Amino acid sequence: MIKRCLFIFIFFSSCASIEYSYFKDLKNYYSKNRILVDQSFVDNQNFSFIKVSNSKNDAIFILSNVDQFGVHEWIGSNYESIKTKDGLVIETKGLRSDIKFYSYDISILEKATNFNSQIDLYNPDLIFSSITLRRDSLTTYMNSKGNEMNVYEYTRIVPEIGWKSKDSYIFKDGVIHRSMQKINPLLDPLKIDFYFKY
Amino acid sequence: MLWYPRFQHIGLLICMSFSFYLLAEPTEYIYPYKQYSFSNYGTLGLIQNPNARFLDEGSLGFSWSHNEPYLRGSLIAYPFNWLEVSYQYADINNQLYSPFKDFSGSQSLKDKSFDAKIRLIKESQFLPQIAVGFRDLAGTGLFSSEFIVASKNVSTGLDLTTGIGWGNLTGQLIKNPFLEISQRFENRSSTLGKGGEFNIDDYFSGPAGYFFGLEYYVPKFRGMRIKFEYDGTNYNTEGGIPISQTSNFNFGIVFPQSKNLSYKLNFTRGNTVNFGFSYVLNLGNKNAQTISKEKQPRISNSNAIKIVTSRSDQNLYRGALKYLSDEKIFLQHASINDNELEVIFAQGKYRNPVIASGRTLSILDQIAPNNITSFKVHEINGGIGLYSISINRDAFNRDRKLFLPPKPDIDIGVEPFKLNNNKNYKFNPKTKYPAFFNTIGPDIRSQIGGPDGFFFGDLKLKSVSELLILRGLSVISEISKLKLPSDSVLPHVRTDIVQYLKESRNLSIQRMQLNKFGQISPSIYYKFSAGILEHMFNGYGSEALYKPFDKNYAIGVEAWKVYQRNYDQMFGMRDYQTTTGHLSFYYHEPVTNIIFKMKGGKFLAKDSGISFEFTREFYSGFRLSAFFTRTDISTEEFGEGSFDKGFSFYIPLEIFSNSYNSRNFGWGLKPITRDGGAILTHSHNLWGVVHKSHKHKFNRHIADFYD
Repeated sequence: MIKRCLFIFIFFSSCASIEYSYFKDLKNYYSKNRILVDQSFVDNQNFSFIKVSNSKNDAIFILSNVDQFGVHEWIGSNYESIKTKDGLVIETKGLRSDIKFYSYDISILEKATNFNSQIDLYNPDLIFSSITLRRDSLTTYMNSKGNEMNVYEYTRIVPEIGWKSKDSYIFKDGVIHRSMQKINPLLDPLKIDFYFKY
Repeated sequence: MLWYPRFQHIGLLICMSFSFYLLAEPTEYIYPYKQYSFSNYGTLGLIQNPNARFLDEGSLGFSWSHNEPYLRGSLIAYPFNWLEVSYQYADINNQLYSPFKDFSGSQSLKDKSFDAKIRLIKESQFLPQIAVGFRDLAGTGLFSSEFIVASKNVSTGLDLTTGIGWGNLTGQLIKNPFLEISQRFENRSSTLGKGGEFNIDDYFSGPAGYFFGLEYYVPKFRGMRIKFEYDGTNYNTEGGIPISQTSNFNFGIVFPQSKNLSYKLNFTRGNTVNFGFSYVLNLGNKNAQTISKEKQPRISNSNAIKIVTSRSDQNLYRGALKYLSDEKIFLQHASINDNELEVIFAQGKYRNPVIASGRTLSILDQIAPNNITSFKVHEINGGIGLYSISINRDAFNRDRKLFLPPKPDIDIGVEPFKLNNNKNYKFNPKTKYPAFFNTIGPDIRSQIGGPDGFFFGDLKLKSVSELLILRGLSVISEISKLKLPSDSVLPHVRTDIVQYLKESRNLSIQRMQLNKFGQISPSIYYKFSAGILEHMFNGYGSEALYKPFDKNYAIGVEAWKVYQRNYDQMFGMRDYQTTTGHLSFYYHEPVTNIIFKMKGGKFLAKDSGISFEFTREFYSGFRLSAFFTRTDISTEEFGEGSFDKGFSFYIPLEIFSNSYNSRNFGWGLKPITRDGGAILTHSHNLWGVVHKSHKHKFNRHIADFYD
C-alpha cells in the first residue's frame, strides 16, 4: 500500500506533465488483474481449468494430465505448472516460488487427521524439510442448490522454519471446488477455484 | 573526570571472542526481511547508537521516529555499498524556532543535519566491519558528533556493535585516544555555528565516549529483532536543553511488515517510550520494483506483410511507418540501398537507446522482405543525431533466438550519427509544421523548513506545451502563507523564492522557451534559446557541447543574457539583469558510473567561481547527486550556509511500471536557498540530451538489446 501511495506521489510530481496515456501506467500499477469467470467463460473452455488468484492477479491454468494417483497437472499460459491432489498443491514449476511434496499418496479427504511428508521449497530454497498437515475441522452443510459442501480446515506446519499457516479446502458433492493455501511462507496465499468439464 | 569502564572491555570481548558463523541452511525463512534497521537518529544503527552496517547500493530510505522531545524525519541514500549519506530534519518540541513570536509564532525549533558514514573495513570471518561516521556534518552543531564503530555478526541472528564517539556521543566518557597522536585533539568548540560550515578542526576532538549494543534476530518470528544497547549519547548537551535520563540502557524491538516497511518500539533513557517506522526501496537494479517489463508484441501476420512489402519499396516504407508508429517509434526518413534498409527514427518512449534500437530492428525484421539482408537505424532527437546502429539480418535473428546480446563493434556497428538534411532519402513522410504538443496534469510545489511552518506546498494544474516549428526548432511552454524576507546582501536571484511562491499562486508561466538545436559535426552540438528560460529569469543565449560519441568526456560552453522576472511569473520583468556563462567539463567514469561535472564561470548573482557535481547513475537509471559551489564571495556575503551545496535524486518512473516510459521524478534539496553560486536552469541542456544515448550506454546496457 505504501509503495502504491509512493508511486502516486512520484507520478504526480514527476518533472514532466502527464499525458493521458500515462494514466494507463497508473491504472496498471494500481488495479488488480482480475479475470471474471462466468458461465459463458466456462462454456467457452474446451478443458477443465483452475483460476489461481493472489492478492493482485488472477491466472487461468488448463488441465493437461491426470495420473494414476489422481494427481491433476494444470498448465499456465507461460508453461507454468501446478499439480494438485484433491485440491492440495503438491508441486509447482515456474512460479515465483515453487513447492514440491515428496508424498503423492496423501489426500485431504482421508480419514486420518494428520499427514506427514517431506517438501522442497524453491526461491528461497529449502530442501527436504518435514511438513505436517493437521486437520483442524470438517464442516458439512448444504448450499442453496442442494449440494453437499464439505469444508476442511488444515494447519500446515514446517517446524524447521517456524512456518504455520491455515489452509481451507471446499468440496462440493465430493469434488474439490475451491482451496485457499499458502505454498510459501513469504508469499500471499493462493486461492484456487476448480472448474471441471467432463 | 575520565575513567575506563569495565563495560567497554566486556563489549569488546564479546565482539572478538565469538567471531564465528552458525551456518543454518534455510535462513531466509527463519530470518525473513533480514536487513539492518534504522536508529532513532535516522541512520542505520541500534536504538540511539550507530552501527557499522550499510544497505545495498542504490537503496533509498525514509525513517521517522518520535522520541521526546524529538520528532525526526530522515532521508537516507546509499550511493555505494560503503557509503551512507542522510539528510534529516529534527523537530525539537521543547524549544521555539526563535525567541521572537512575531517571526515564527509558536513553531517549535527545527534543526536540519547532514550525516555521512563510510565503511573502512569490510566484515570477514574474523574481523568486524568497521566504519567511521559524522553526524550533523555541516549543521549548527546541535547534534554534531563523530564516531568509529565496529559491528560483527557472531551468529546467524546476532549482531554485536561497539564504538567510540566524540561530540554528542560522549555520554560515557573515556580518554580521547587521538591525544596519543596530537594535542590538537584536546579541545572541542562548544559554541553552536550558524550552519553550513565544516568544522574540521573539531572533528574527533575533545572528550571521547564509548557505546555498545546488540541486535538479535528472533528466529521464526517474521523477521522481528530485539535491540539492546548501552547508550553513548550525552543528553546534557544534546539539543540545547538537558534531557532527563535515568538509565544508560535502552531496549527496543523492530517488526518488519514487509521487506520495505518496518515499525519500531523502544524504551530509552529509562523513562521514555518511543516509536517510529522506516521505509526502504532498492532502486538501483534492473527491474528493481517489478518482476519484468512488458514484452514486445510480435506482429501476428508478418509473413503476409512480407509478401506485400516485397512487391514495392514504397510498401515497405509505409509498413515500417505504420508498425513503428504502433510502438511509439516515429519514422522520419527511410531508404533501401543494396539490400540494406536504412531508417531514421525519433522516439520518446524508451529511456534506454539499446531497447529503442533493438525494438526498432525487431519490427523491421518482421515486416521486411527476405531480400533485405542488413539494417541500419539512426535515432535523432530535435534535429540532433544520437547514434547509428548497423547489423546483419541473419546475425540479428540468430542472436535473438538465443537471447545472446550482440557485442558492440563486433556483432553490431555502433557509431555516431549526424543528420544530413540535404541527403536524398527515398522516403520522407511529411510532418505538418508547426506541430503542437500539449500535456496537462497536476503539479506539486513545496517549500520545507521555513520559520512560518515546516511545510508549505500547493497543488497546481500544469500545462506543458511544445510547438515544433521546424525539426530542431521548438517552443516549450510550462504554465502552472509565507513571510520570510531575504536577508541576502547579494542580488536576490534565488532568495526571493518566497515571493515567487506567494505571488504565482494563480495562473503563472514557468517556462516559455524557443529552442533551436543543431549539430556542426558528429561530435559538436549547439543550441540557441530565448524566452522565459526558467521560473525566475527571461533571456536568451546559446550553448555548445563537444562530446565525441565513443569518449567518456565532454566540454561545454554557454552564455546567457538574463532578466529577472516579476514575482507573479507572468511576462513582466524586474530591474535586475546580468550576463552569465560557464565553461563546463563532464566525465563519465565507466566502471563505477560516476558522472563528474565541473562548471566554471560567472553565476546569476554576478559572482564567479566553480561548481562541482558528482552523480552515481545506477543500471535502472536511478541517480544520486551531490554538488557544491565555491565562488569569489565571502562566507559573510553568502550568509547562512557559507557556500552553495545540496543533493538530489532522480527516479525513472518506469522502475515502478511494467511498461516502458521516459518520465522521471526528480527531487533536489539545498539546506538553505541563497543567492551565491546560482545557475540558470534552462531546459534541454545539451549534455542531458546527448549523453544518455552515447556509446557508454550501449556498452553497459547491451544485454537489453533483445528485451
